[in-house]
Amino acid sequence: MAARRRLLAPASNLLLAAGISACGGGAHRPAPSALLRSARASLDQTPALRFSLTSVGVSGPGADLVGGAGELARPGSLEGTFQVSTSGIQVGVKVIAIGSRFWAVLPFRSTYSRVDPAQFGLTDPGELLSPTRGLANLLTDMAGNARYEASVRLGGELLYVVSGTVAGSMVPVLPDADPSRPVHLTVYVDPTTDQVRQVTLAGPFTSSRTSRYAVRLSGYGTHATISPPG
Amino acid sequence: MHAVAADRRDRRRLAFAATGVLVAAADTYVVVIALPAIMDGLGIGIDHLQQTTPIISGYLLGYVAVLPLIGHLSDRVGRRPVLLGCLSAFAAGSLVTATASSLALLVAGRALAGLGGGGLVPVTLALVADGWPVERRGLPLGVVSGVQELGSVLGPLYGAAVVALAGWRWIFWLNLPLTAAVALGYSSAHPRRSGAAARAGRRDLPGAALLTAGLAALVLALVAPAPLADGVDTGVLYAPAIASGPWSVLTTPVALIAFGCLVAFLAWEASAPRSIRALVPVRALLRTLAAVDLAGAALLAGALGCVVVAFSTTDASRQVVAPSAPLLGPAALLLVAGLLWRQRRAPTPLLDPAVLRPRRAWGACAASLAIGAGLMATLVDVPFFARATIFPGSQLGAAAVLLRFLVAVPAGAVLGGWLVRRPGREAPVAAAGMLLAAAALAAMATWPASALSAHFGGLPFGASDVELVAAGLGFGSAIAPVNAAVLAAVPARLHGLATSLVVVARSVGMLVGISALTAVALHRFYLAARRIPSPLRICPSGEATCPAYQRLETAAVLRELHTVFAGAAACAGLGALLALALLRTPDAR
Repeated sequence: MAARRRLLAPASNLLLAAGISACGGGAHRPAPSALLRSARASLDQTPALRFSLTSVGVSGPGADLVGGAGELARPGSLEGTFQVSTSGIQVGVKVIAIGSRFWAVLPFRSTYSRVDPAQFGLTDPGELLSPTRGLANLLTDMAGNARYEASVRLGGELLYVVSGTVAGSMVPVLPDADPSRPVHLTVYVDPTTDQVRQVTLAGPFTSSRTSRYAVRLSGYGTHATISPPG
Repeated sequence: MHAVAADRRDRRRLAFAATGVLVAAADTYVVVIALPAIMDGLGIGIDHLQQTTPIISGYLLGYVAVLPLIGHLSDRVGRRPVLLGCLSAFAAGSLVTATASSLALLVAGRALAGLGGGGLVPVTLALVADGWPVERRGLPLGVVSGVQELGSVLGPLYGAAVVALAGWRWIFWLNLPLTAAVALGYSSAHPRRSGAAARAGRRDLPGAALLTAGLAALVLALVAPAPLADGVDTGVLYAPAIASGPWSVLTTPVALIAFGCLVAFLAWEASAPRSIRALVPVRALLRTLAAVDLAGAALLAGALGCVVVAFSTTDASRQVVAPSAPLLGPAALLLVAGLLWRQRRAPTPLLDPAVLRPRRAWGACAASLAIGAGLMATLVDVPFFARATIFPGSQLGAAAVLLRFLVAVPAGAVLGGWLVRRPGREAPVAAAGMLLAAAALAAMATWPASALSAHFGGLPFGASDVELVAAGLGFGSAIAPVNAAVLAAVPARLHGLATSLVVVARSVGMLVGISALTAVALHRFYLAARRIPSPLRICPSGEATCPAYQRLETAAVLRELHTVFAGAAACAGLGALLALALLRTPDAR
């Protein structure tokens, strides 16, 4: 997202002579914490989800997660492809996570190996749907300092935007290079269904420099079965 | 048409058209160094390199498909509309490429830009034919083919500089002002229509309004400026009808409005009353398209498209060509057979048969095929070698290594031109050049990881530098003799067409070479990588990667690149044989 905006900035400056108001919703909007609670409830209800991940400015000393896409299923599994960057060279890595077990098809190999997700700077990718450590938990954590930003449309859909901060240690899966600094969260919620469509995270993940991840979520209410490679 | 010598206006028109040819030729090569940055930008790993070859070959495909067609078209519709149309297609393709959010859109943009860029060559050659008498066309024809060679040198360097300074998308954004400058310059040098003709008819205001609205909406749809696309009120215009997939950006209401306006524009132009001076001569264009060999061009593009798809959609970890190859191969052969049949039957075939009849003419094309395959493989894979060994992650470092090869190409071209200043030496000079390139590439096929950093004792350069320069000199010195042979073999009235055929042949060689060699090499890489034990066994504490494992991985990457260099050496060697056998002057037998 952010990469797209940065590249488009010069063109949009030219094109956007008239300011477009982004007042959004307004009168009947619930308090930000209430919206986040409802969003958490709908996240907790779905048996499975599809996710896609993009990033901007991620560069660390080792192999870093820069993107990916796949499925999440309860209680704690994930299957998909992670884009991993090692010293500037990017490769796609197929991954499966079930509970604390993690398998990956390492670059240029054809079968899954059981590896430690810490090799990619990650902790237990299966936890994303966990009610105590996952995305849902982030929504509760940020509720205390959450505030509304201007609403937007993504892909034509009207979304409420709530921003806030959490401690880096609360963020599931992603690394935390500087625990003294918080992570800024922006959550995009569809007000008609209370479904979280996107979460963006800005913080010192792979190095002390601020980098950004954006997780898009879709496929609420779907079912998925993820089994170990075999 | 001007009967005698070229006047100043002819020279200015040619200068601007040739600048357009330079920009378009450079665009063939501009992505050579930018490829890794583009792959990162679109989230394509290096393990799927073959998927990205259409970024190069898609452009070549467009370039080649229109080359033989546009000459006829501009004879009938006029040089100016065709040249401006080609520039517009090039600009539109560049816009799609610059804003592409998926590989499919990027390749589509490149192919569209290639269609426009390729069309510039024959129009420019036709300008030479219009402005210069037969016996004085040597210099202007030389300028047109010279700027195409210059494009191959400037393209990668320009691309590397833009990527380093501003990012890969800017390469394509910058094409827009460049194209506009060429279009304005050319139009200013174009003879105004005489008074009566210029006044005839009213201005086409409805057409202008529809075109402006359509283009503006298209730009807004592709650029999707965040304040509009994410705006609560305006964002509804960016809700795609097809929510996901590579083409979804083309299904938003604003994109559909754009297409609607553009279709309405064309319909208006085709049906407007004759009292209105149409912006685009749609009626004339339709009549002309019916007369030129559109089917021939489609058959040629289809056959080449099969090659691109067969090699780029494969899973290189399993096989060299895609599972669809058993269908695509015969399909390509059928299309080629159709093209040959069409050549015999069509009233105005794609290629004037007289061009290819002399042995030295088709021989020059055959040699150019081989040159193109070797040249493009070298251009793409030398930067990869540099990045895999001494310049990880540095586009500019990789460009600096390639520079040794790039500067040698025009030097070789001048040398080759000087050596064939007297007729009769084409075959030995071309063959010697290709042999030199083959020998240098064969040496490159054995480069160790330290090749680029090893220097001769006390000197600032090493064997790899000598080999890169020799390869460039070799390829470069074969260019002039091949052109000279084809020009000597066909009558002067066909010189323009013959020159562009050599370019077509070389571009086809590049397209097939880069597609096939990348797929073969990547497959060999996987075969080599399969023998590397898992990093979990090699690395001391079971990490997913470690220096020892990375060394083995680099060795496998080098094997991949060695395969490409060896393939390029074989192509150059084949080119030498073809040149020797086919470019001899008939009386020298």
